[in-house]
Amino acid sequence: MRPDDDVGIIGYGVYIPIYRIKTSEIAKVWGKLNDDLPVEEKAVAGPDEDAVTIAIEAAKYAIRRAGIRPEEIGAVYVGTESKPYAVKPCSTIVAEAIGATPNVLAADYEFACKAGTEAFQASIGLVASGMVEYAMAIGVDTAQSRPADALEYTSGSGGGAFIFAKKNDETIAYVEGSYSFVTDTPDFWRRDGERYPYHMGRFTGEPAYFRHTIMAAKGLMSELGLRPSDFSYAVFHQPNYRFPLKAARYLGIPDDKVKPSLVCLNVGNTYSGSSMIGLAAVLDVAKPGDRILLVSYGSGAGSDAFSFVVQDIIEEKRDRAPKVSTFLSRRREINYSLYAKFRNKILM
Amino acid sequence: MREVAVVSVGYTRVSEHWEKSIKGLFVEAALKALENADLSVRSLDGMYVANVFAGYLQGQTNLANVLADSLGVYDKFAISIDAGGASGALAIHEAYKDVAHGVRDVVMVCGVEKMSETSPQEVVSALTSVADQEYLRYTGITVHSLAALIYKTYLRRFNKKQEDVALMSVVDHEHAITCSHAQYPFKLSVEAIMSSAILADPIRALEVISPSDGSAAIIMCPHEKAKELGLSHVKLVTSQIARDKFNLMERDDLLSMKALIEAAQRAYNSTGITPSDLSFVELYDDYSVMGVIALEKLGLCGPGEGVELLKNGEVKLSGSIPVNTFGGLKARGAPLGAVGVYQAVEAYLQLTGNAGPNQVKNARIGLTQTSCGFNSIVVINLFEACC
Amino acid sequence: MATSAYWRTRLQRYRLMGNKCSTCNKIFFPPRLVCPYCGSVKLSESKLPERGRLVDYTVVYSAPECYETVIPYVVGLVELENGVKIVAPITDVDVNEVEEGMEVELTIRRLPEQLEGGMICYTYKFRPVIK
Repeated sequence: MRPDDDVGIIGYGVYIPIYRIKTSEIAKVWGKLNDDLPVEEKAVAGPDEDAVTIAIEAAKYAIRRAGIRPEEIGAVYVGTESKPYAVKPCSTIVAEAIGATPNVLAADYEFACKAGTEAFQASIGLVASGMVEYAMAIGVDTAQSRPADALEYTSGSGGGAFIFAKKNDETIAYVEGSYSFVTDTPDFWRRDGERYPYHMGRFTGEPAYFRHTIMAAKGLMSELGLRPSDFSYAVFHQPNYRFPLKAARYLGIPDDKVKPSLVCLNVGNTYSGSSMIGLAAVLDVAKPGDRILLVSYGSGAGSDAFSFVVQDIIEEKRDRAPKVSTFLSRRREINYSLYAKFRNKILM
Repeated sequence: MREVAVVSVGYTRVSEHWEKSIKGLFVEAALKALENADLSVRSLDGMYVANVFAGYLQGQTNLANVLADSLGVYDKFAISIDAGGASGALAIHEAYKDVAHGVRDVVMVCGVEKMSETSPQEVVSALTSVADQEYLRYTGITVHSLAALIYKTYLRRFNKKQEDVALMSVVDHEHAITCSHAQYPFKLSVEAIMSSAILADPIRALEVISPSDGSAAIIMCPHEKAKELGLSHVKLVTSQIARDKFNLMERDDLLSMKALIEAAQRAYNSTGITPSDLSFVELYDDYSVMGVIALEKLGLCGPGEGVELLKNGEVKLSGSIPVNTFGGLKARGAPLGAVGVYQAVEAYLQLTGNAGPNQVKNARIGLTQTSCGFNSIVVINLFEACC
Repeated sequence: MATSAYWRTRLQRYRLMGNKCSTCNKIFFPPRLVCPYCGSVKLSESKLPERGRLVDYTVVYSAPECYETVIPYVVGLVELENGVKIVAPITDVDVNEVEEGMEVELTIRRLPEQLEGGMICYTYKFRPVIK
């Protein structure tokens, strides 16, 4: 998909909570062996944090990099699967907190881990059509996981915000095009009213994550006439350390183009925040002219693939707000009992 | 203006009165006060009720009406005064005005409070409710956290140790040992204070008031009438009020306590009484540090010297300036709305020679200081022995 | 907390919106209705700076209602970049690692649950600056 008018990212920001729990600590509690842990540690939202508070932090850093006034933002879209309110938008709270209200569109998006990139697509369309000058897409989660379940080792907290505008001198990276591949594939879900999701084990691999990721990437490259070697970086959804690298191998993309985006070893799977943070980590280091492949994945299932081309102004703008690496080094380790308390896993 | 006398007092012990409701406490103190003056309920021309938490904790509004009714008084003036911890003294101030200006003759002031039958957390919220609720409510900023900022500033500015400031509570407890109405009539050591739970660093639980129940009543009338009735009495020579910003952040300095200085100055200037004339002082020490600061702002010693007064023993009953002669807020106890009236009761007992083992020798003039919100409202009442 | 009471104060909670007396230029947070210095009612919106210095702090152990599971926590006195002082909870700090003089910045955080299934209250706190 290519918008009639060129659109690009003019600002981006991330936020990762300070707390970390080592997967070896979780393993200790549930009697799991240490050899088989999918990540080293994951980020844990503090007792006073949730998807809304993380979204606000990321949004403000995005505005700082964009260098625009919040009143100018025409849409605030928050994609998450850990909405504090099942009904009542996160996006209105974020919009009010950043000062974008009242002349603003606001909505929450849900598509498991690709809610953020769904918001990307909507923002691109809104901006390209000229309906709004600036649209902000946020992907954020404080993911839930059943105690002792495999997901407990990876379900992390964090998010990122991206502001889109028509391509101009302020553009950090413009969108060459996007491609979405969506089917109805029930690999992972959470029913209304349920605390924890269900996942279908190995079914979440080939028929779900890999199929949609690969098909979206191939579809994008075919439509844009690009080859894997045209990309300097590739950002995939990071449910664990292995999946993104395996997807890259399927596509013929070398590991070292993927590794700069991989934060899951220390942050875990931030669900809707995963692609956001991965993309931001790359923007933190990319050079003008670099082409970035972003392929998100959301259970249910689908992938959004994008090609971004980095512009000159990235060198100046990236320093306006804290980088992903800063958030990675900003950490405080907690044990399982504090983790259970923070994440409301203790029956009161 | 007529001279105003306090002719009688009645009070309950400060305690957890599981068996008594607010009405029960009120009636007990009121009847005792009337009995001690040999007056009937019918002789009252009106009453002031001092209370802070009946609405918040008991759900009871319209308190003065309800309490006057419980005393069987349907047809006389009754009004409730809420000014946080200063309520009792402010109620006395209002009654003083009534009597002094000939509006009423025989007026009872009764402070009553019931704080015991709720959770510790609710007490903290209740105490914090005197601050602005529009923005502070539920934020976790408690009255203890604000007191801690004052405490830390005091320790730093004057280079004092917390153990020395905590002596305020030690002195309180020493005086309470022989006080029959005290909540905690036993010795308390600095070691015990310093090993008690931290409320908000550095404040320890045992240097702060505990929730209590109690009721204290005084009966006031024109001096001439007191003489006529042949009642042993004291004069309320002056009652001065001053206010300051209750938002600590708007004050120019956390320790300035302008209202306390102002009220004291006006009390001294309007009467010609000086700090050295005082036979004893009843301070509002809801926190030990607030008591120490009060010693200084009342002119009993210089800035930063409050701790020396505590250490050198001058504040004991036998010293040059006895302080909190029945145990003060910490040891006699602090049923919040009633505190100012308990202080007046104690001044009366001292000045009429009825303080028993707590008697200050030759007590002639006594000062009570009652405050709300870290001295955002201060009432200073000066009492003089008479006839 | 009543929904409308929370909603009325949202700009203060979310954006640190105070006000300023047009006559004597004093800045207030929370905003005032009448200037206590000159009596003027001509007060205009004035957003406070989001950064400041932690001038003093205390660690609270004695919980008010709803905070039983949150203690201990830090309450700090922050002097903002324009000199205005504000008392606020300090978050993302270990109670043993707070230091006077720390540079702090505004963060919007969630208050403890008051009523299960009830309205969620977000309000201002401060955390160490992330550079």
